[in-house]
Order: sequence, then structure tokens, then C-alpha cells
Amino acid sequence: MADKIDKVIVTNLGALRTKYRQKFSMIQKAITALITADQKRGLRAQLVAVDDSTTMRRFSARPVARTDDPAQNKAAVDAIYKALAPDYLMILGSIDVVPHQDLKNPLYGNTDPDPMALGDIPYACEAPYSKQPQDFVGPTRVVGRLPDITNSTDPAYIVNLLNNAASYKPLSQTDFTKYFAVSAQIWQKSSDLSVVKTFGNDQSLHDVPPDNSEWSSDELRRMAHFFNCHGASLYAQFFGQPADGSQNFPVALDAEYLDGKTPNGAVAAAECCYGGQLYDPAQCLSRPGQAGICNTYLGNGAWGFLGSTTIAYGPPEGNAQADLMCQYFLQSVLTGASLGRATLEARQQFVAASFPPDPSDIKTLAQFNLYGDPSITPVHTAQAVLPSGVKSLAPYSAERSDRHDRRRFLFRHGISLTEQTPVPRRAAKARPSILNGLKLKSRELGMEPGETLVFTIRHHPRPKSMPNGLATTKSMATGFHVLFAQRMEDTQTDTGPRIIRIERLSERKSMVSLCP
Amino acid sequence: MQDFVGKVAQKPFATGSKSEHQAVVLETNQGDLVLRRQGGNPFHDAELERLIGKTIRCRGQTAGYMLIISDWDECRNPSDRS
Repeated sequence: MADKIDKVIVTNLGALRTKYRQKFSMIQKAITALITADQKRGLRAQLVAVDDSTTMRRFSARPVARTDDPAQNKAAVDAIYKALAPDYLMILGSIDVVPHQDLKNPLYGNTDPDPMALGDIPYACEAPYSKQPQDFVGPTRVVGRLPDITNSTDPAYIVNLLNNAASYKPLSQTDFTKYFAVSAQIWQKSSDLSVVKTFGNDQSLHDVPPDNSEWSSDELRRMAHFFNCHGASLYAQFFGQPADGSQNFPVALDAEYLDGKTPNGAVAAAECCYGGQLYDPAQCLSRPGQAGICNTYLGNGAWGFLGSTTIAYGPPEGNAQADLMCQYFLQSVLTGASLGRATLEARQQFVAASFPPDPSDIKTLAQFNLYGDPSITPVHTAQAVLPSGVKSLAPYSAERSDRHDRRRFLFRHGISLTEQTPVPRRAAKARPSILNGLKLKSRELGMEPGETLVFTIRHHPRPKSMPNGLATTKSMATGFHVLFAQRMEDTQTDTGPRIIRIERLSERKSMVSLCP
Repeated sequence: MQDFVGKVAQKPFATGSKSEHQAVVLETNQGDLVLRRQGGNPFHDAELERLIGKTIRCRGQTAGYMLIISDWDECRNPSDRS
């Protein structure tokens, strides 16, 4: 066991050399410093270059020849994981070093224009390369990405992140229970539920409007941050919206304002669309040259940021999709999980909670990523107390043994989710009776029906021991009908209930969803 | 940078999502492109909303489903969509 690698840092050295040229040596030095620091923490870490043919041959795999090829990168990471079974797998670099996987967005169409739900979850799964996100509902691996800046030539940013990871020291749980949370006012009820379930109170939840993006230093200096706001592609800002649904979207969070103000060690979770998009700052639409909010947090010293690459989903009242993913992540961090384990547990818990996952759940699972060193454990947990005279690294052996037990459990659980979770696949045609029923219902609720997407659900064979009462197909959903519906102007009220989602089993045994 | 010609309309965008809003789009022969402007609010940009209902010729570049425009002219003659 002593020889086992605990943490693998996966990167494409050729891509980093191309980006940083002679300054690449600064990154190499920082990687070495991180590995040394990990060693002192009892973690055996190793750098693996996916583009190095000698290294990859040792893992019986081909080196990555095209940096931006998701299939090559997925095969390389799978081979590394299979050979070393690390407890932590850290992808080093942004999407121009190791790309996100190119998962197809199951909701793609006229209403949701993202063709892809880009993400890192396939790197955390045993299934081979695929563009179908439904193939990755059973994550087994602890994975996170420590990104540099896309298209950057200055290594200072990633060197700072590596140094920050090397010097981290866990804090107490109370450091993270004083939180900072911002919600678009229109989603206040959902956000309120999220923060109460995560932090036990809603005292530090702010709504925009009436608040604005100029948060006080007291608020920004807190360690746990949570956001449920609007977000847009290539913007370094999140946005609020009034509760009455009017088309007014004041800035709720601005990366330019945040720069230098959030603390070292912060952990943030953002439900917002594109909150975890690693865009090239030169393309930024809010201010040319401004890095995104995720990159800004990490640059300020944040240990971790959970965010979405694309358009994200969640109801205005109650919790689902992005709400749950962020909640589960923060809850796990608060109980002492490493950032990477918190992400894996959040993903597994999310799949279990949404069983059977609908297409928007599948997109949610695909698009949320951990940015940060996955081995960082923000909240200090009690260590084994050993008799005097025991070697100094002995406590880490006990920790390592416990960690391996957790990894084995999470691996088995992930495999079980893969084997048991029914997944929706796009179908060609809607049943007219169901479609008409949905449209009728939507109009009754004051909403104008729009695009419809149809999915069939593929179920797995029932376990032999499952009682007939549970296995009966009469209560088993066989499909999803998703109708996007827009509230009609004349039915909008300030205080009236907003229908979020309707699910029922129709006579045809299909589950229908109405998504306004 | 490319030239685009089309009619500007307002349409629901990403209904049910965390970026749901009434988007300003350019209807082109190749389909709708969501209009964005450097420095403009992505969900509510008065400059772009002034163009709704008009046919414009604009200069910009696409980024996925978006068209980021820098300058534009109203086409007085509706047939001027070449």
C-alpha cells in the first residue's frame, strides 16, 4: 500500500510549453513544490503527462497527439486511472491544455441553444469515451481541475494557484458556516431553501434587486460563497431579476469588483448559467480582458469553485437540478470531505435523488465541474491519535486506509448507479394524446406552450431479489415529454404561484414535465 | 468580422433555465442569432431593444448561438437584405 500513488496530476506538458514557452519552467517548479507539499501531508503525488509517449506506454495507452481531442484525452485519463487508481485525480490546465469532454446537450433545440453540455464528468467515470451524457450517470473517481487561463501566455496565474494548493491548511467548520450568498430575487424562495439546508439559516442570503453588486468587504471575506443568479456566456458577471419577473437584470456579482477582495481558502458554488465557463478573457463581453468569475475566485486564492459550463436549470421555488448539485457539494465540504470527494458525492447523491434522471438532470450532471485541487480538504477533521514514538507519518497511514475504504465504497456506488439508473434517450415523436394534454394543461396554468422534446427511458433488468410489487411496470415511467412553456403576460402577478414543473404518470405510462 | 443582414425580433430564450429572458435576435437566412454588444447587459440591452422590428445590416462575429455586433445600420428598403 505504501507504494500506491495517492494523487495524480494529469496535464499536457506539450500544450503548457506551447502556451508559456521559456516561462514554462516556472510552472514545472510550482508543480514540484506542490508534490513536495503533498508528500509532507502524507500524499504520494505524481505528475503524468498525457502527451508523453514513454509515460503513456507504461500505462499501455497512446499519448494524446491532438490536445483538443476529447476522445484521446479520455482514453489517456482512463488508462492512468486504471493503472494507478489514485484517490485524487487533478487535471492541471484549462480547456486548451486538457479539454472538457464534448457531451451532447440532451435539451438542445430551439429553446436551449447549447449544442454541448461540456464537462469533466467523463474523466470521473469508468465508461469509455462517448458524446452521450447518459453514459456517465455513475461517477466513481475523485476528479477536479486546477485551470490556468485559457489562451494565456503569462504563467503567474497558474503558478499562484499551484502555490496556493501547496500551502493550504484546513480550517475549522465554523470558518465555513459564516457564508455569503446572493440570489436573483425571482429565485429567492429556492435560494432560501438551499442556504437553510446547507448552512442552517438564511441570515446571509442577499437578493438582487434590491441589493446591488457592490458587496462589503465583510461579506466578501467569508469563506463559503453561494450564488443563484442569471449568468451569460462570455460574461464576467452574474445578474439578478425582480420577483415580479420583469425584464430587468441588474448586475449581482462582478469579477472586476471581486478581484482581490475574496479570501484565500474560499469555497464557492454557483448555480448560474456559464458560472464555470473557462473562456479566453480576450473574448469577455462585459469588459475585454476580464477573466471569468470562476477564474477570478481561484486567482484570489479560493480553494474550490463548483460551476456550470453552459445554461443551467433550477426552479424558482423548491430545489432541483443546479440547486441540488451545489447544495450537496457544499454540505459535503462542510462535513470534512475533500473538494474532490465532495464533488463525487454530490454527483452520486444527485443521480440518486433524481432517480430516474430527466433530461435536464442529465444536463446538470454533465455541465457542473469542480475547479480546484481535489485533494484540498477545507474543513479540518479529527486525526487518529497515536501513541508516542510512532513515526510522524503514521497518522497518514490511518488516514490513507480510511480514504481507500471511502474510495472503494464510492467506486462500488458509482458502478451500481451506472448499472441501475434508467436514462432518457431522445425519441423521434411525441404521442399526440400526451402532447395535447400537456399543451392544454399549460394554457390552463396561464402559459403559452412552446417547443416539445420527447425521450424514452431505458430501464435496466430488475434485480432477481426485487419484489414484484416494486418491479411492476404499471408504476414505471417509460418516457419523458418535456414542454417548454412561457408565462403569458396577462397572467403574471407579483405574488401568484409559479408552476415550476409538473410530473405525472399518464395512461401511457409516460412521465411528463412542464418547464416554464 | 462578418457582415450580417436580418430582421431584429424579440424571442424567449432558454425558457425554464437560469438565463431565461426575452432575447433580441437577428433573424437571418441561416437561422436566429442572439444579439449581444460589447459592454451591454446580456439580458436587457436598451440599445439593441431599440432595433426590434427593424431590418438591419450589421458587422460582428459569431460565438456559438450569439452574434456580437459592433456597428449596424437600419435598412430603409426592406428588400435590401442581400
